[in-house]
Amino acid sequence: MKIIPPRYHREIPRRYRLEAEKDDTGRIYFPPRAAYISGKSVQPCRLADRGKVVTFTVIHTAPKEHSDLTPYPLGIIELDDGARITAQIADVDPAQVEIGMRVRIEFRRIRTEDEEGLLCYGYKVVPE
Amino acid sequence: MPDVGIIGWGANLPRYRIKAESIAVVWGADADNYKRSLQLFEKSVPAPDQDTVTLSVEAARNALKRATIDGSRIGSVYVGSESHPYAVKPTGTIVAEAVGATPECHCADFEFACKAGSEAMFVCFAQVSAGLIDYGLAIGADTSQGAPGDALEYSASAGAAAFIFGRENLVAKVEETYSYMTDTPDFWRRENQHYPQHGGRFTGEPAYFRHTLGAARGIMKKSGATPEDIDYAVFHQPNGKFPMTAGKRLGFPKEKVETGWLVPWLGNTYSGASPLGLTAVLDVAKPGQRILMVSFGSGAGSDAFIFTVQDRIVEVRDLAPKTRRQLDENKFYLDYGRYAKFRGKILRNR
Amino acid sequence: MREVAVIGVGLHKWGELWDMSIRDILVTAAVAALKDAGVDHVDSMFLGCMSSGLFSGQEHLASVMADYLDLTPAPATRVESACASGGLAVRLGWMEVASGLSDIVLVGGVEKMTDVSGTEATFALSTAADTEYEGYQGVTFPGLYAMMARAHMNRYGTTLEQLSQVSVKNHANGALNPYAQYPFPVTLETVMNSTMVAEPLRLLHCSPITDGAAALVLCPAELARKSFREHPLVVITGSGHATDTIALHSRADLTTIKAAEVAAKRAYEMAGIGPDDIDFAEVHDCFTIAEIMTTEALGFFAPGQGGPAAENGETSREGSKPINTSGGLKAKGHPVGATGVAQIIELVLQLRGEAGKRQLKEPRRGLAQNMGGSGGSSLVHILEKR
Repeated sequence: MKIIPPRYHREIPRRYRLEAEKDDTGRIYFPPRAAYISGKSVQPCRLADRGKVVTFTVIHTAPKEHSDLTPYPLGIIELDDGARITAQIADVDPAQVEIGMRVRIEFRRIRTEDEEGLLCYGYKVVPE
Repeated sequence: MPDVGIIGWGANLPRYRIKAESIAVVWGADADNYKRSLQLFEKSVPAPDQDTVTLSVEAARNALKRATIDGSRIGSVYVGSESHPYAVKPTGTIVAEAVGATPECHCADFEFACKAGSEAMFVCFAQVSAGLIDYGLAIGADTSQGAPGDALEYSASAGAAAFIFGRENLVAKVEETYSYMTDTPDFWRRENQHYPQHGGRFTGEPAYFRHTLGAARGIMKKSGATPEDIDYAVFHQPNGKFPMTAGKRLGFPKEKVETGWLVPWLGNTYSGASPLGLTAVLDVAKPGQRILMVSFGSGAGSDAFIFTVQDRIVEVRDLAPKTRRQLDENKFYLDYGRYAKFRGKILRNR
Repeated sequence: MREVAVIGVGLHKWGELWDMSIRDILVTAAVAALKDAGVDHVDSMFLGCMSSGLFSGQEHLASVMADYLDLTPAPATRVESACASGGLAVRLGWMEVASGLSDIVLVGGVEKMTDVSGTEATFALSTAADTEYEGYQGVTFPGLYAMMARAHMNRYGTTLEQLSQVSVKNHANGALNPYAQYPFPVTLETVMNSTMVAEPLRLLHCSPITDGAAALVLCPAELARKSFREHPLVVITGSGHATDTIALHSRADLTTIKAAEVAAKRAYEMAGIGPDDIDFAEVHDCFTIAEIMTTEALGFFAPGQGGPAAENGETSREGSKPINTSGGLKAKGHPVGATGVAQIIELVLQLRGEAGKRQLKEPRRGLAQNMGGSGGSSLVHILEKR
């Protein structure tokens, strides 16, 4: 499904700046949740920009939008503030990726909506 | 006039490279000749997920780290490039969002041959000097292409340099600025053409050298400086030979030009070329030293700056990745096939 | 709450059914179930289907179902919980009979997946994950389960061979199932050397794209005893339902499937039993690692022991805890919305003694576990022979 401006635009604060929310216990909500319903008090924050690989795979059969980069490593990254995100691991030989590897966030083009559509940016991680 | 200058600088280079030999073997050319005569050994290649926007954002983030300010304080963002990802839609706005400068921020994209980045620097400097903004972000970045089989294919590469200008906590004060510009059409691309045209040997003496030397001599005369007073000279670097020749003709010993001379291993990063050379110099320069930077854009002229390095530079230098490290370490070499795929040179069934 | 019996089941051969539309397959299975039950009317219908809109451009299946079965104006409800849509339809049908609101309820599940290209099918399936925070990032379904596999292998030492043995076993079972999409055995070598999809999962660790439907008829057990005595009486004694986070990265523990564990607990509690009382089970082996992890989540094996159990044959038809005698999603096929309903059908056939060459020796209690996406939702049902 092609991404068009309204759908892309509303995610910019999170995709570009990793804006999130944090409650009193330090638990991070990315994107924010209606945690206040259960009485939690949340404040805005930004995700840490460094972390480690918790688990990963190397994708050989990719969705159309990412098929130019196969095979690409993709993992669940635990950032240094405890938040977990899913991100591609760029600029690395897939065979070198390991659980526990230190990585940092980098701004990359995530997908291109065909020849005439939007260029969609966001976060990937690269080895530290 | 209060002191105005750079408070933070940053570079971002892709990690992929291709060697001159890998290009030459495909087109039946003489790699040794390119390497010898033009001093071009290998160049950077942007990954499919990198473009002028992404390289600019990362360079800007590095500059912010050294500037030790929050992105929200930036009052202007100008991105100079010949390879803005959209034909129509700003680059600067994406960069401004990514660094948190929006919404109270001036912004524009500059397109001015390889001089777009240095002009962005001048504009930020001018706005800060006039007191209209506190901090200005100027970026020179490109992911330019050369036509397959053309000489430019050995040099057209990718990289970004970012500078934040301000009035306090300077790392490099601007001593003097100058610009030398004529309409000398030695390089152009028409609408709907995929690759540029260039004037062959005409790009040398009447274009590059007239303007580079004109700007260098002009700024040194304006400021009363001589090559002996200047510790580092950074010139626009479309190939390895031109900047070395320029330095020689101006009376700079090779050592003063070498620190900012990245092109033999980086390639020509167009709007990022002399700005990236400047970042490499700032990575090592000592307080009190003076830096001359002269850009050049084909058909666009040359901007010149003289900077004096300030004490604060030693405190912040290590806060972001250095340029030579990005250039020399963690490289991945591509063969021509993967290079062509990365650069979109292969006809696809769309 | 009344006890609910399954009095009719309807299936057909699953596969790439080029000549049959979504309506055709749904009707085929539903008619078979109604005939098997011997009913001529229904009070209500439930249908599980994940994505008829994306796959066939057809929503409003409630009306389609009632219309094409010529059962209008009976009420019909289409439910969706990604790959757990079928299981959810079963639960809601059960609830409506148990509560006394309806007596005869038809429960169906359907998915027609081959009216779009492979790329479009992959996209449709990807909507079961977090579109903006997983899909956008380039994740695929095999990729999500591959990440779970790697975490499980890293923590417990589960091996690629153990994962592959699950596929071998399920194909061995599926070879005996006349309705299966791939009714043939595969060797360990074939599985381990099949094309890499998302490391470490290979093609033969992944369930296929399938067109298929399945249907059940439910009624109160008391009514079944009186009026529907053609088959042995099989009743639903437990139903459990749970959710978990949509994105895999939000889960507390990547090496287990919490939603399955919680749904199972709720089902066991309702049935007044525990995992040891279950004779056999149909679990959601969308990928081989899922079978290993769910057998642990259901309490059949200790955490980390699901792999060795598969390797040692404990989950084969001859083993102590036969899993997926139908062939599982791997060999039987995985028409997303139909899977949860078909799982119940295998339980019923086994409990009735009608499972043909796959028949276990006098099973009394079976469990079906169905789940959506990477574990964002799960349904567990327990059936018993009375």
